[in-house]
Amino acid sequence: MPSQRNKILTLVWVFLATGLLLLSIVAWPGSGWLKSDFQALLPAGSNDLWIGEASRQVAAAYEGQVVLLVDGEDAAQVSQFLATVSEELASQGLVSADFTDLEAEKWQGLAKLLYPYRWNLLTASDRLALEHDPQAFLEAFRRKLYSPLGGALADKLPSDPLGSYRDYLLAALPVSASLSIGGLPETVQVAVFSVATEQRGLAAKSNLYAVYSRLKTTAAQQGMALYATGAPLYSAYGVHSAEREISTIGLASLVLLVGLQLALLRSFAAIGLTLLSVAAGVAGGIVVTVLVARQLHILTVVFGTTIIGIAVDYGYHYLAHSLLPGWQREKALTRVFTSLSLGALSSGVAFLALTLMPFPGIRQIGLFMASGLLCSYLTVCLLFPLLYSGPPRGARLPRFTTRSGIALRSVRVPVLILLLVIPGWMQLTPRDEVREFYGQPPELSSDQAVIAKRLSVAADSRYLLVRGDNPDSVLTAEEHLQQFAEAAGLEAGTPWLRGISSVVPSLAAQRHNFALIRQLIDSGAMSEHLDALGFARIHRDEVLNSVPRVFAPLQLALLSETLLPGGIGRFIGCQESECASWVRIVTPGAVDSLLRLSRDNPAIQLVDPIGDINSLLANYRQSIVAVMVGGSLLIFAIFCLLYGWRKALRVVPLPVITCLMTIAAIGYLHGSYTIINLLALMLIIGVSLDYAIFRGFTTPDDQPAVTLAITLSALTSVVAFGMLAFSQTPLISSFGETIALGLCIAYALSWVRVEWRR
Amino acid sequence: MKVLRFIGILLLQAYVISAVADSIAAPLASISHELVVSDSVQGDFRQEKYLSFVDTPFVSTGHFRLEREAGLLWQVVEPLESTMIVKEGRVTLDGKRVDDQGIGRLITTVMLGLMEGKLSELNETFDITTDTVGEDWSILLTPRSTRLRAAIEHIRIQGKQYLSAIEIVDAESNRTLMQFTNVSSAAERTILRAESAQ
Repeated sequence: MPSQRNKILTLVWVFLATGLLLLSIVAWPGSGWLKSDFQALLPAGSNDLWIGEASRQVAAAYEGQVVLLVDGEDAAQVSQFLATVSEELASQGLVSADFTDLEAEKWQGLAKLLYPYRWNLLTASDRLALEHDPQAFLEAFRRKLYSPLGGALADKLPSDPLGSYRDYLLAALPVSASLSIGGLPETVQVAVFSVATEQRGLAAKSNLYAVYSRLKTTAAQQGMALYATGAPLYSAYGVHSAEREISTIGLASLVLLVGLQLALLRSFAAIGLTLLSVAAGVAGGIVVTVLVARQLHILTVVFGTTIIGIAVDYGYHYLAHSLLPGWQREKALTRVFTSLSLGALSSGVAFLALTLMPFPGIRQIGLFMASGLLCSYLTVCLLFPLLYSGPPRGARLPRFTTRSGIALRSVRVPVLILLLVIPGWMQLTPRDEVREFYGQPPELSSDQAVIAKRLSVAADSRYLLVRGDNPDSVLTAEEHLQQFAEAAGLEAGTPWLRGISSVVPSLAAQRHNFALIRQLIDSGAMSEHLDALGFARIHRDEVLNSVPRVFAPLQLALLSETLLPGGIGRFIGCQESECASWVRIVTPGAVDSLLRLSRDNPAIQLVDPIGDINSLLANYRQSIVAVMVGGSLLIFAIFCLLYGWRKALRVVPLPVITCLMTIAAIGYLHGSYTIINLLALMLIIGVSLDYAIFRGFTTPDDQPAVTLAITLSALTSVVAFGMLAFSQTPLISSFGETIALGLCIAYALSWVRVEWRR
Repeated sequence: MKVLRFIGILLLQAYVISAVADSIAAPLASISHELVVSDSVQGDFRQEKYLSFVDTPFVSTGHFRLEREAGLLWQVVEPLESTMIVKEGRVTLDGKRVDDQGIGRLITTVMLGLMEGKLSELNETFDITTDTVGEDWSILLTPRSTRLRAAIEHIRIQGKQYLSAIEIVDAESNRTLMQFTNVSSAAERTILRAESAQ
């Protein structure tokens, strides 16, 4: 019969759980609490509003696009195939519309919007020519009119008598559209699609990859080659491979875990309670983190899954003791309370130390782990005594648990280990490259290379951030960039940047342009030009009268009336007397010069989102190393204070040596390490610390139960996380591999006891 | 704003011009048979563009030379001198590279097709109607795609042994007429030079 005390404990658990639930209902933040952008991980000081918004806009420009390129020997066949592909993608609802059509519509809308202000809009070369020698400019234009290239210009003479508006619009067109696609042979055709927003969910992404694979095969069967690239395809591959891994690795590990627990604990109730303690840890971690931090980053959840590996230890430790002879339900908790509490306290303090770091991501992980472990610990202490009545009749500890460990009596072995691990450490170099975390399927990588080569464009996420006191000063600063570039030796007139000033020039530039046109009219040069072209008098006067006498500026605000096409930067906005825009870098080769420019001019900043993330990773990596060292010292200090340095020296070495050996193993295996390896090490330290505490704070009679608990913990964690090593995603496989290695070492070391000879 | 539409259409279609078709329609094959196949042709041209807002058409005259390797050289002499060169997809006007938007390459492709007797290449982009009277032939090219049709209504090509005229009527019914005279192949010029030397 359950005792009154156990009932009270359960009531306390129910009370706490209900309280947490009610608190979460009342204080849960609104939508948007789950973050996935890297900006949310930046330290508060460097979390620049403009950079955050600009990076979001730059990323958004790429995230929905898929580029298809079909290469064949017969143009008609290629064209037909591409049409079939379009129909199939559209019929399955995977793409919303032909991206090219959408962009053409946007350009038409923009051209219509700017048309009334066309007299204020001149390209740099047209402006220079008009300033330098207007007559020569007009004659050059007429020469072009009489060439075969003059067809489109001639048709538009009444509205664009200098061809300057056409020049302006052409100059604003993205370079890739105006030059590269036009250079392809007819047997190579390109289509750009925009993936429907509603189709960016996981299921649709997986379907997109399946369709891509099938179409690639079909093209090959018909003697053609299909190449595709775009962020949605990479995401689709990620979902596709994750689904495959979940269905194979996930199922295999689940079967193994259940089998292991059944074999060793012989109780379904025990398995259920273990899962409950882990679930309480995960749920509690999420709720507490969201309530305190008001947000939860997706990476916190991913790495927070390691809580399972530590939280499960408490349940195992409690349950394993039930197999000891003379186990009594009423005294069960008392028997393990000290070691459980110490395990939870040391891990909790170590993870809480993370919350002191200046990085939101690490703070969240620390809070998540500490609160989650507390919830698991409380579940074991408060709920298990009532719900777990004991093992089935006849169940006993496996025979191997009664074996004594390995006694270490000489310093030769540690010295030998040290000699073995030092070369491993020396091989280690840090790698902070976020792009290496994700799987690059060979077919998509080679497709991307082919498309980049064919279209002469390189995907580059870098951009320039331009700041100013007001919108016009931002536009002026953008215009000065071209002058800076020419001063830096970049080819004049090269379309290497695309900013909003290429659509809306600064007021000074507009005023100057307008004055140049008015001067042409007032001097009679325009009239002579139209006469030379043979304009009928009535039409000539119409053209001359269409140019306003008073300057009317084109304002940036007007652009809010239309959807801007892709390929050009954007004006972000103004806040607290500062305005900003971002400028797209069209020619990646110009980046070195731009870097020099940005150093000399505080209004201009070269932003490299990938580089920033890598720098962030490096900072996080260094911080985690510092926290691990600091955390170990803190735990050592706690044990010294509570139990004296001798006892502390029996507990702390296990996690420390495990950590050092695991690092050496990574060095031997890979030669480099990343933040992923370090995050895995945090789990390893937590688990190995539990092993050391359970060993060190349990009576010799109870050691077989500790052996069983440690064995179960190690086996389940190694199986669950070790299976991740087979993942095709480097981030996951590296994580799984490190944990598997570390836990194997920790488990092996947990059998060692030090018996120094006097 | 049809300027942009026109630009967009030509951008998309500019690369669709140089294809090779497997099947050759019989009438087209017959015209191909009539053509003098050569590595190089040259001659004079007169280009007229008729526009509603001018009293007289835009008229330009000059010389052209087309070579398989060197591409197209289009030299306007009157009323204002200019030189357009189309070579390997690049178009320059008076030595400066220009955004051709497809017109220069379209003309080059049509003329190269006629020079080399490979008219079937046009079949990929246009619906072709042919008409032959004696040695005279004409080909009516109507754009197949909606996009190209939005810019060009039709192109009519006329000739005998050589190309004699190209007429382009755009979607707004503006007409450009290019007439070619004194057209000769490299072989013919060699013979003429040899004869005059004798």
